[in-house]
Amino acid sequence: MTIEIDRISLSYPDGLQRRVKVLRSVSFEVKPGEIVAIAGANGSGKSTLLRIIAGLLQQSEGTIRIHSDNAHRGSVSLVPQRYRESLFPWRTVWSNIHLMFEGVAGKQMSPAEVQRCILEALKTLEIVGLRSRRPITLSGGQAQLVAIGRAIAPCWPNTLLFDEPFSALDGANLRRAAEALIRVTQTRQTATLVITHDIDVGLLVAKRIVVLGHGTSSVKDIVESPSTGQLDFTLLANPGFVDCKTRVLKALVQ
Amino acid sequence: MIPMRTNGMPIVVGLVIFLVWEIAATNLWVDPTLLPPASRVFSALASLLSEASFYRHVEATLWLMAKGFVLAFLTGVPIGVLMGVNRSANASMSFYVDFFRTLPAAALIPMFMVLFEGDLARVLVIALSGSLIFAVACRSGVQSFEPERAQILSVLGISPIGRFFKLQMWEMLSELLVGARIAISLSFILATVIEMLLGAHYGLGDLLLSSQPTDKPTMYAVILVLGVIGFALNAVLQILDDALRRMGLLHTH
Repeated sequence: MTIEIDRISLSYPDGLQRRVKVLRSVSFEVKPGEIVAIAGANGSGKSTLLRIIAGLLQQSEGTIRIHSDNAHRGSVSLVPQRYRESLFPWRTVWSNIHLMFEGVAGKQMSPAEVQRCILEALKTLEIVGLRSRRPITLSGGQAQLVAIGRAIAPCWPNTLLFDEPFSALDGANLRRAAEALIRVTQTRQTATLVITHDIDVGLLVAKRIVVLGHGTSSVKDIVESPSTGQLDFTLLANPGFVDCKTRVLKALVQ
Repeated sequence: MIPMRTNGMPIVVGLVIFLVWEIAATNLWVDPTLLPPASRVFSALASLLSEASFYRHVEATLWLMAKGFVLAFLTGVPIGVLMGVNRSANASMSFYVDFFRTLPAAALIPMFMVLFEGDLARVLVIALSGSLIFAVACRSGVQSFEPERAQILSVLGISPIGRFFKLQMWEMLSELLVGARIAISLSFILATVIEMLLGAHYGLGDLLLSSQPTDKPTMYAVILVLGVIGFALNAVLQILDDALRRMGLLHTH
């Protein structure tokens, strides 16, 4: 699975015969088995870009190409920023994850396969114990893990789009979720995009960080991360890592 | 839900009201032929409760209300859902729904008396008024889904019909229950009014009106019974609402 984002722009009329430009000629690529992080100031259009890639919003200019040799071509998993609201309150955790197999791509699988995929996602995030719970009974962190679990449950190469997936996680939960993202991306050769405001986490999990600028957002910089494809917190003290972080922060405040 | 007061205050207030009522009537501060003492009303209530014919009146009113309410549900919900999911259905029907909904329901009674006969006219007045409440509640309920959940379904390529059954139907439940509470109150009010206006020879409305000229204690006793039934109907739906909410099936936006 590859995502090619080629000169994407978005503008809309402001009602005063002018057009508000949100994104300007944004281009980058996510290759199979790669995690790319997107950083940017508030209102820089990060979530908008994610929604365009997910096909929920139509860009004004540019093209998005998603290549896959797989039968599940075009299948997208999304974790929105308001992850709790994205869970269906009347469904249990298991049933919320099962939703991923009720769409066009998932219908090609047998019930036994579906069950195996759901269980694998629950085990990966160590939330098997939550399987019968309803979202209303979950803490913020648990709900975020379930939303991530739902996104990674499809056992085929797809596009994973995460909007601030670690915002309510810390400690062991953060490690578990970050490791799951890395492992799923590598083993299934998915193309994974992660929006994050936490530069450290972004650099730890992603192969590179795309920094969007202020105002009408264009790509200010694309910073290659020194991460080795494994979650390694010792990198935080590595001089190369600190240089990367400084470069990202500089691009952010430009 | 607003928690029900369980510290006994409502009972105390009720006792005070009945006490003031009793004192005012027995000391002739008010004309006892217009407002008999509370004790006489309660003894009239006790004798009503001991008569088999009273329960036939209760049954008649509740049966009329139930027929109208069920018919209102069965017609109003599909109309509201259709208006909620289909823009042109909404555009073509919303004027008529709003027009008849704001028309005083009791004004329909004479028209239905002319168009239909007997019980059918009574049921249809209730059904029409209630169905418009269900339609408005469902239209709004179907449209007020959480956008994040709709996004999840969109990226999965789920059809509009799938979206209705997986999302909108459930999101609608909250407002459907609010509509049901309004509709059941209106159905009960209309059932009573219809029994008074349409000269039925049974039902609590008829009992209320026929006791009014000669038997004031019975009239007040019937009003108390109507109050208790109305409260109980609302409480049943409130309990259902609470139970569904506890199960996580209902939510507030």
